[in-house]
Amino acid sequence: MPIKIWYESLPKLPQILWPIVELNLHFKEVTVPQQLHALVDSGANRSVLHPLIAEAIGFDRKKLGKPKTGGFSASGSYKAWILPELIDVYMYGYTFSVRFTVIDNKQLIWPCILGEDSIFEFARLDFQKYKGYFEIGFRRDIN
Amino acid sequence: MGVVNLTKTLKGKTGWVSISPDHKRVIVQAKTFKELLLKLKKMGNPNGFIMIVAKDFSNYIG
Repeated sequence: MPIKIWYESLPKLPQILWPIVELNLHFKEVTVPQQLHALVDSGANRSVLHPLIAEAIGFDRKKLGKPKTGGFSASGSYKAWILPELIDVYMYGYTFSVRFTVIDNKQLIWPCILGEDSIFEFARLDFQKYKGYFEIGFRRDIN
Repeated sequence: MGVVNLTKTLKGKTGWVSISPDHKRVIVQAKTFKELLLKLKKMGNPNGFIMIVAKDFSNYIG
C-alpha cells in the first residue's frame, strides 16, 4: 500500500504546495534527534544535504577539501562536495542509504533535498497535487 | 486530514526551527543548526521536526 503524504504550505504564499517528507538521518554513531523536513525534487539529479547538518553529523569541511566546481542549478553554478560515505535515511518505516551532495551554501533553505539518486531509486512516487497529496510506494524487491 | 498549512505556525519566524509533531507549535528556533541542536538537547530532545524557515519561499526555483 502506498503511503499518502499531504503537501505542505509555507509562509508568504500558502497557495504554493510543497512535496515535503519527514525523515531521520543516521551516520555512524550520530542520529539527528528530530526528523528533518526534506523536499522531494524530481528535478534534482542529486540529493542534497545542508552543509551545517553535514558538519554536525561528523563531516569536517577541512577534511573534505575544497568543494568542486561544475554543479549547475536553476539559479546558476555552485560548488559542492560529494560525501565520501553513505548516510542512512529512515522514513515511514523504510531505510535506505544515500550519498549526499553538500552544496557550499549555508543559506540553502532546505535541510535536505531528495532527488533522483535517492528516493526515486527506492520508491514509486505519484504526485497528485490537484488532490493535495502525493503517494510513496516503496519497492518491495529491495525493501 | 488535508494539506498541512504551516503559515500560521511559522508566522514571524526565520532560521532553523523545530516544530511540534502536530505542526501547530514552534518548540524552539535558532540561527544555526548547531545552536538548534543544543537548545533541543537542553529540553531533553522532545519529538518534533526540524526545518528552515526562509523569509520568502515563493520565489524558490530548484
